[in-house]
Amino acid sequence: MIGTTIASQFPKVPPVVLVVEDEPLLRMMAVDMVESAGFEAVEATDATDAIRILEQRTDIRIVFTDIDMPRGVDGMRLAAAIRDRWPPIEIIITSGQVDAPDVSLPVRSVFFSKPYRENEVIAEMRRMASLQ
Amino acid sequence: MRQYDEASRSRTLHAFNILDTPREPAFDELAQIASDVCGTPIAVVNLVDTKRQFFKAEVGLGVRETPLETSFCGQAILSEDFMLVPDAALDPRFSCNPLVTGEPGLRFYAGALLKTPDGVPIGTVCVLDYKPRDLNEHQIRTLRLLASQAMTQLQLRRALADQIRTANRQRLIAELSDRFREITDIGEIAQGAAVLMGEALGARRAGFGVVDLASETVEMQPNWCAEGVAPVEGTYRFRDYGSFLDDLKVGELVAIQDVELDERTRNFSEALKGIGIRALFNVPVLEQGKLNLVLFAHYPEPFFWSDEDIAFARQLADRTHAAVAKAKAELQQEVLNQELSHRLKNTLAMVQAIAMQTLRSVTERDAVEALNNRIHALAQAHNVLLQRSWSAAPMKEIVEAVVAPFNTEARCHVSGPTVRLGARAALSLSLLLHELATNAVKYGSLSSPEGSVEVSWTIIQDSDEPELVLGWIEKDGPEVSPPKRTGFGSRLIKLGLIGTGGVELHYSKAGLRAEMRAPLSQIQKS
Repeated sequence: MIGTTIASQFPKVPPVVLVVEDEPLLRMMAVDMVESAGFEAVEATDATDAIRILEQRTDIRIVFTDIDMPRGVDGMRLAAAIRDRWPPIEIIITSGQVDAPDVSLPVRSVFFSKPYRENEVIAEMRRMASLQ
Repeated sequence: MRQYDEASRSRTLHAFNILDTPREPAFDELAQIASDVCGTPIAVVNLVDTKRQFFKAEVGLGVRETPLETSFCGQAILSEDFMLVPDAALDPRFSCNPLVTGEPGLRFYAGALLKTPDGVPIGTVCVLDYKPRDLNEHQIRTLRLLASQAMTQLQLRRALADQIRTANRQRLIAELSDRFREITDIGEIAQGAAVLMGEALGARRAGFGVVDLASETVEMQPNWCAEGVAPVEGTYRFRDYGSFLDDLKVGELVAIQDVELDERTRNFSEALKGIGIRALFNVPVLEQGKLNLVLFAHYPEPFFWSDEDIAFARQLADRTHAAVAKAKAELQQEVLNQELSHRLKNTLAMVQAIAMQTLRSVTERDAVEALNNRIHALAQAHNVLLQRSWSAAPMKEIVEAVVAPFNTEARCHVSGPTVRLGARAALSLSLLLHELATNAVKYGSLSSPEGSVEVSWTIIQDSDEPELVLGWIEKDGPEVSPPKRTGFGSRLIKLGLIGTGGVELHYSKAGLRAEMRAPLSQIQKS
């Protein structure tokens, strides 16, 4: 109880969300969505870029990634790599496919079909951020 | 002049499928007539193979097979149309025969040759006696005629068997074609065809291989094998087994009766026999002119296919080729569909992004949200259609997908018979229901905690043309009245199920009641 009280006295650091999307417009919108929900957004244009960022930063809490990106590792392999190398990071996957892809999603990951409903994605991010 | 060797003569005989068959009245009667007319105790319809003779019919003999060494109807006799031996004891050709010198003490022999239309002798109709005798002209002519009749019987019998086999094979091919319609897996198609071919052509092993032209290798897929036959597995280089790849490459069927004799395999026969192949039947399946698959049938002994066998295999190859091409086309169509839909969904996402970014500073957030939601409703309908590859979508799925976001408390009840919607109707119905649901949440029954909505449809057969009637009935909500302003939403609703109206709206104390009608044929049109 005392710990909680002390922690809540400090200004809360917003959880960091890494947005991985190769389409600039969609990336911009996703960043807006993440920021308007009170998170800090970090952008990556492809999976290789995302891996590089993840290797440099240790404060990323959630990765929100498209899985149909053309260049470099595709999103599914990115998600698998994250689950493997950075197990605590939460993963949200989006795609123009209707359903989650046939290949199994990494554990503790959630899928949204494009175009996604922002309120649903934000709700999921909040839920994930609350799991500490 | 002999136009045949012993091997081909034996093959001709075997092709009649008469050896070792049970007695048949048609032949028994011929033997009986021969015995009666010639007055001999013994009469036989006799088929002469290389090492034995088989009696299709016999009178007075009691056996159905004897070895050829001691036979009267041996090789020698096959060279004469008719042979008469009045007293075997006096004939140097037979005087030493143990059947003459010992038991049963045969003395008389007369035989007329069974000869195919091509002039190949395969047996005799003959009479025998234990005492010397002679035949008059009438008896000789009768014996010749009986031989001719026996030959006719053999041919008819074979023609009938051929016809039955052809019919059976046609049926098998038809069944296979039916099965092919359900199968989209190319391997399954090739395997089905190969197994059918192997069984129909009496092979001991059958299957298919996937060809790699660059390396001229074939990767054998799991085989069908007769009992006790080992499968061929793994990858093989064509050139290690002969030169028949050149024929396969140009789409030629390869039928090698004996790998030791065929010039394409003669120098490789040991390698072939090492994997259990003495006779080899290969059917190429080409894709865009390039050898892609090979159906194979293998035999551990030399094998001779009839023209009909070859025709059957060709037919099978054509069907297989068509089925494979169709499966490939469907696969490509599927991929294309996926790709298109995927792009469409991405485009919708981008339209949404542009709209939201453009309207960021707009203070009427309701309008912005309405636009956002309509784009989602459209995307949702596309989802359902996409799952059906843009063909008909079940109405229930469409309705449930649209109301799902509004139905978190299970207050929308959806019911109706199975109706398949065309792509156009699916899209307009989705937008329409989305507007109704949005209004219900804002002003109608779903705005109050007890309220609910009943969405149901039926098909009415009143007139010549069946009609779909969709009802949207709101219950236990606040009193509603017609909207004062006709916005985009109301106009969307009034467009109806197929964009041509047919909508009745009743605003009352009980809540909104909407009824929408459209001809079923229009709704199901894509």
